[in-house]
Amino acid sequence: MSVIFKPLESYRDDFTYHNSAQAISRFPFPFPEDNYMYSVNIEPATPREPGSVFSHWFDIDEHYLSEMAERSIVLERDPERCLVMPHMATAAWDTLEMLMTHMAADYPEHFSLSREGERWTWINRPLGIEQAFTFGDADTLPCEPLEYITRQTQGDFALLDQRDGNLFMDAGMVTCPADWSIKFDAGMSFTQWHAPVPMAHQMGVFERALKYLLNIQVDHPVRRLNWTLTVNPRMDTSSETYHEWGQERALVNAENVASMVHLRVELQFMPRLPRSNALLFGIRTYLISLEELATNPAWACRLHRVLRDLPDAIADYKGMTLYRQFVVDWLSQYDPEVVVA
Amino acid sequence: MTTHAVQPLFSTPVYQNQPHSKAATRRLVVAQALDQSPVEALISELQAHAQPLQVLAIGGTGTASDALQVAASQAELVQMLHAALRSAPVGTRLYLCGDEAFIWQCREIARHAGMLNEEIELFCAGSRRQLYCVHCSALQDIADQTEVACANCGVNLLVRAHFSQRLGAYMGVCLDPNNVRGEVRP
Amino acid sequence: MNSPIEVRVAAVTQITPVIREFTFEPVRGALPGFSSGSHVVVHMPVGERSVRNAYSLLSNPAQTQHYRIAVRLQDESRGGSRYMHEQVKAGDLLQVSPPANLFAPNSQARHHLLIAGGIGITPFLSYLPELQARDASYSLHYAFRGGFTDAYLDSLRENLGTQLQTYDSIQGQVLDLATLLASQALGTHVYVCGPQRLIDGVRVHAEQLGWPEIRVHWEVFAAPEPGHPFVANLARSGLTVEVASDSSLLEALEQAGVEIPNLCRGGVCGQCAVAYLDGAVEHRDAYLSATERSNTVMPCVSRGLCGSALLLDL
Repeated sequence: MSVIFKPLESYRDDFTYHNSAQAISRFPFPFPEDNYMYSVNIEPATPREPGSVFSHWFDIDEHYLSEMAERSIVLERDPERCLVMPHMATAAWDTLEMLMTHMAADYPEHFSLSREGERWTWINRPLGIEQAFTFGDADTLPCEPLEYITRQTQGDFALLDQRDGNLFMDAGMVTCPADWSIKFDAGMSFTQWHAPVPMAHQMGVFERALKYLLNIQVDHPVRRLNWTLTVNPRMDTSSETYHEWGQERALVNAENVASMVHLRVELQFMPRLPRSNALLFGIRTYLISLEELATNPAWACRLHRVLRDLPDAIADYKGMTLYRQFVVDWLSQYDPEVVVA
Repeated sequence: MTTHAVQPLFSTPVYQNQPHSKAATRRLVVAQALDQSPVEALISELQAHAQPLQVLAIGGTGTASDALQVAASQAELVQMLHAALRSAPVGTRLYLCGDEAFIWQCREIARHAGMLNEEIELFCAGSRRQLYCVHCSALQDIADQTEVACANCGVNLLVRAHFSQRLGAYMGVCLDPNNVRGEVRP
Repeated sequence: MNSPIEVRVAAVTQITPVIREFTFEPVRGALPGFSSGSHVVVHMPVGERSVRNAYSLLSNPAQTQHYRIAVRLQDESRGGSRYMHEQVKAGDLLQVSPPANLFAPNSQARHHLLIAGGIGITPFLSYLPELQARDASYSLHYAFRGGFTDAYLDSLRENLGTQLQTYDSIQGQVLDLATLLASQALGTHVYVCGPQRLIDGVRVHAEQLGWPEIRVHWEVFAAPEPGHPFVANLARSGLTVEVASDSSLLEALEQAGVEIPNLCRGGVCGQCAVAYLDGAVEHRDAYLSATERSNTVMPCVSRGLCGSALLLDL
């Protein structure tokens, strides 16, 4: 089925972003159980039901135009959110090839790619782009290849160099992170950039996840879901701009909680980049307000139990301590086991 | 996570008190000052090895010799370090002694010359360290305080334990987003 | 498990009296891309059994229309290399695993010191086009028996010039590892592929000279050596698997329909590690620690001791 793009909506200022009923129905609700704890929830990324967010390697949805416009705004203010260390040039071309190939094959009505040897032509109809270029020659593109293709693809991307039995974040396009900074974390190993996550290190989660990721093979990607809460449908919740958005957490109250607080789900997708042996770490973010989410009462009930019973350290790390009780109270109306006093 | 309590993390650097007893064909000590007690202890410990030992240091009372080169300034010391690394083979171990700002500047030079973390030992003396403001990317020297205003953009920063080896700096992030620059609020 | 790819043998070329080169092309679609240092596992039907050996891809990673591998006929063969030499001809169909890489060039190296012994030259053939395209600093030290295991020598001489040093054992030329490793500039990484004694030599000298382990990269491509036959019992499924002397435990399990994740099939990567509950193991891997060996076995190379039955947690 063909994706229909909504007209431009905003992820900042007046926050006009909303999900259609169809977008709500395909939202990747991340909780398989009524409680949540860190785990190595990585699975082979085999395609699932057509139309779901799992049906293609790189999911394009109704928010495509808005998200690409938001990325441009962030990059205009802060061009270094896209960063490619010199030794990652091959991995950047690998990424461009992978994204173009899959998007053209999966969404032929929107994208097309023709290749004659190293002479490639890329067409992006929704953004009105037609670009002829020479694969491997950065001078034939308007900008660096990773930046070029990720300005046209939803989601953040980190490129991980594999060496010394570890993965190093040596390149990336990160304009919608959940409270971290590519500019600070660049060059770190897998274990270093996960350092701030509480509890999981002691549980051995990262050690096991790293072993798994190091052995990912060409054409056999894996995926996992991660989640947090975000006040307002704000994509750029980076550390860089925390001084601008952090105060919004204090604005949540019992009246506005359902429209203001959003469940933020990351669909992380990790394929091996064939030519460079680097690992691509795709982070595709989905936002849904509590009131949109509650159109599916089973989700609202489960989210109630998860948030009510979440360990304080995790709630703190996810930045929801200030307003968690408003959320839990509002969601409780969907939980049949909650006895109304 | 941004304002999480300041506790050591996996990314927080750990410094040594004693040199490792790993094989090496030559050893190079770079010290911010010779008269710091960890430096004296380190040098006498390393002199027990048979392989050549070279010491580079700023100022101090030592007399220059084949084994000891004395620099007048940190800039001159950095030049000496570059030169020493240019002719060094794999098998060289590097010992860096000084405050954190000094150590990580030298370590980045060594890394660019091709050395690995595994070949570099860090001995910390002094409290000067670098802070990176995540909001404006400015670096500044600080001491052991846990809160400080960014000298560039003025945002009041919490000094986190999250450390970037590439930047040689701790992460500073807005302490209170409801009161960004610590103005008096009505 | 990653499903194998069907390939057609497009060409077979005798390179030296004991080394044959095979060119594979896809039967359908395109072959997956690969990086320098990658290998594939070739599935060979030898009699009733399926022997699986890993071989380096020696073609240019920029060109994925075909894969090329080279196989040395092994004296102590379990049948794999003999099968490749005597049975496989152009037009045949074979199954190979998708490429995996356990021997990639290190992105931080300022100089790549490549040391090859005989058929160990193969992974470096996929390194060279990449290193040259990147304008990276490298040198290749190649030890062989002239006229016997000196595969690709002429083209290497032509292509590499002074970056190639050769050591022909027939002419008594010796590669002095201690001297070579003592004089390498900071930032050098060493890569060695070849016979076990060459790999051991590089690792021992490098360690004595203060090289950290992560500067030293090595790849063994010996197929698992044969041993005495033994029996493995599977605690959870109740299966009994007999392991013949010329079969590995991993191959015997696969033959019985038990698929175990694996990559190197040479006792190095740790992927196929399996817990055992009872029995005595002859450990032949280079991965498990002494503690792990008390309850874990690497079935790609290690075997149960003759006469005792091994009880696996499978």
